[in-house]
Amino acid sequence: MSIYYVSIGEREYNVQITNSHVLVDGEPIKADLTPLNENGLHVFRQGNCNRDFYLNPQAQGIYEVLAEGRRVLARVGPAGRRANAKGAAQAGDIVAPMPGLVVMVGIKVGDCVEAEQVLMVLESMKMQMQLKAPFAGQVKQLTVAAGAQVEKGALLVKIREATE
Amino acid sequence: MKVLVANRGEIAVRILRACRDLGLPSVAVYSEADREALHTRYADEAVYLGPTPAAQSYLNIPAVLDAARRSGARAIHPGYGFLSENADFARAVEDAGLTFIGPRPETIALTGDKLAARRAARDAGLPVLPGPDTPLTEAIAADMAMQVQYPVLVKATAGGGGRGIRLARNPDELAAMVTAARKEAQAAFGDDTVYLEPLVQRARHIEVQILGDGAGRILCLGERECSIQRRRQKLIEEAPAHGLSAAQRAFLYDAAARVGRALGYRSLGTVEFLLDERGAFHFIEINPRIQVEHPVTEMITGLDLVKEQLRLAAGRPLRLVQDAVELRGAAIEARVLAEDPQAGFLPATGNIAHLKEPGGPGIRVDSALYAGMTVTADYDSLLAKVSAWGENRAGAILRLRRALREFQIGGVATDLEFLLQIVESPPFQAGNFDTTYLDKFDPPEARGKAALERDAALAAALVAHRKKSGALHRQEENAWRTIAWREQM
Repeated sequence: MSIYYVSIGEREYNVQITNSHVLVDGEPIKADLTPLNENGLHVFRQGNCNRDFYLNPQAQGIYEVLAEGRRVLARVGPAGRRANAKGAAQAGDIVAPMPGLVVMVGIKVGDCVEAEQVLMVLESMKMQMQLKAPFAGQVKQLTVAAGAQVEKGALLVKIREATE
Repeated sequence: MKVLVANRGEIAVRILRACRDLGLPSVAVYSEADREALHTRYADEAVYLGPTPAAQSYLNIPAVLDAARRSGARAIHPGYGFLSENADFARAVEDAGLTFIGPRPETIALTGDKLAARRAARDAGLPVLPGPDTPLTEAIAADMAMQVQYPVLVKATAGGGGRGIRLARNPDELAAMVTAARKEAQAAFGDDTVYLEPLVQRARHIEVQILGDGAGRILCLGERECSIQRRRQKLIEEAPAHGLSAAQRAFLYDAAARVGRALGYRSLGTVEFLLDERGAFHFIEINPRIQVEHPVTEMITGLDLVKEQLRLAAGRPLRLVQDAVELRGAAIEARVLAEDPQAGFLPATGNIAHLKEPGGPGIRVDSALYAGMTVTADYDSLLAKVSAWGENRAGAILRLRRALREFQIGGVATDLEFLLQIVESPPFQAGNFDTTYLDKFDPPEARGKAALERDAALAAALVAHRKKSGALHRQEENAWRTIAWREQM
């Protein structure tokens, strides 16, 4: 299950997405979004209602959404982006997307990293995956070294935006 | 007759279309920023004018004349804005042996001087607002300020487009407003002369479209109402004006035709009036050019005004007699601007990543848009005009509402939603408004707003989710490929 916090204006929505259904603020919604082309035009289906939804990804997780003559800017954050989300992971917390072996660590605590810089490589069932920094910042915490076995969801690295 | 269109954007495309309808070869001119613009690609030929700033391109008279010479154009259509109300330009065009598609240069000079236009209107028997017919070229004297009737408007004699106008409510404010208006007028028009005109409270803006043959024959093509304005910029215009009596209409048409005849008016023009609360009209000015809002007149008359202009310019007589002009139904136009209502209507720029213009019965769209186009801050913010025709005003409103909801412009903030709010507001629908309507306009929350925002949040989360899982998927595939390659070594 993935949780997204989507803010539109002052309002924040909690969207939970699983393989089979979607909940908005805990309420299950039977809806489906199908892309019609590569440019962002979708059809949003809800019951017997099919509507044009145009979604245009912009910088910083913001999506421009056009529907029914209205234009909405929706900011999408990962689970727990909200500052007061207790115990939830924060932006810049890199967790293991799968269980596996840490085959390479390219950073140490205190390093400054660029957005998209490879932090470490995980290997699982002959598959390697690079873990990258989501934004430029500084490595505040590193919980593993090369050769370690990790479980899915384990916190591996904490990156924080450089405060200068 | 090869026609050069000395303009850009939607009006350039509009005029080029009329040329094509008449089988006339056309020439576009363009600035550096408009190398790929729609009008540049639409015309039979396009000639480069100069760098992006208008002063070096679309306002550059020698460059425009040179473009006409090089392309062999025989006539120049100025559109609106830019050089359209520049008497020197019209004269230079005629001196170069070309046809200026518009009024005679002396008519443009006269209408460009608002005080002179007032005198001409008064001489023709039109009702003109009282005011000291004297231009103020310096600060106003204290004793004079006491004699003025308040509230009063300070207006630039060379004004236009709602600029160079200030409101003074009392003698204390007047001096500062005169100074401010003169400063703005100097910057906008290069002339700081202003005059005073009493403010008509709760006025409606009503204008009459005329077409003259330059030899004294004037056709009156009905009126338009343009009271829906934001900061003196027209936003929604309609034809006819609702609720006028037959007597009011007869008075209006007679007045417009009278001043047109007095000027021996040639080509298209608009005679503007204010309608006060008591139902009386007051002349304000004459616009010697095609207007932005001309489509609503075309919709109710069934005429193509630009084609009529081109025919007259080619030396043909007026095709119609007044009795043959029939006004049918109602039409409303809404101006789609690259302005963000959520950011205080600041101009918005960006790339138009997605575009779907409305269509269907009774809908007309005038634009120069295309998907992939970059909206820059170089020229004005008008992106498109959506006009709707109906058998009556209510029918036109329903269609306009439908069209505004159909219109999708992605990548640039626009006023589409604001236009929809106006069109859906009960006072607008009831015809209960004046030129101050938008000053205190507070739209009720749109119906279904909460549900739509929830759906938008859901859709955005889904797209973000798929992007993330897709990226993960691709990384997995890449990793596999790397490993497979390594194993082959």
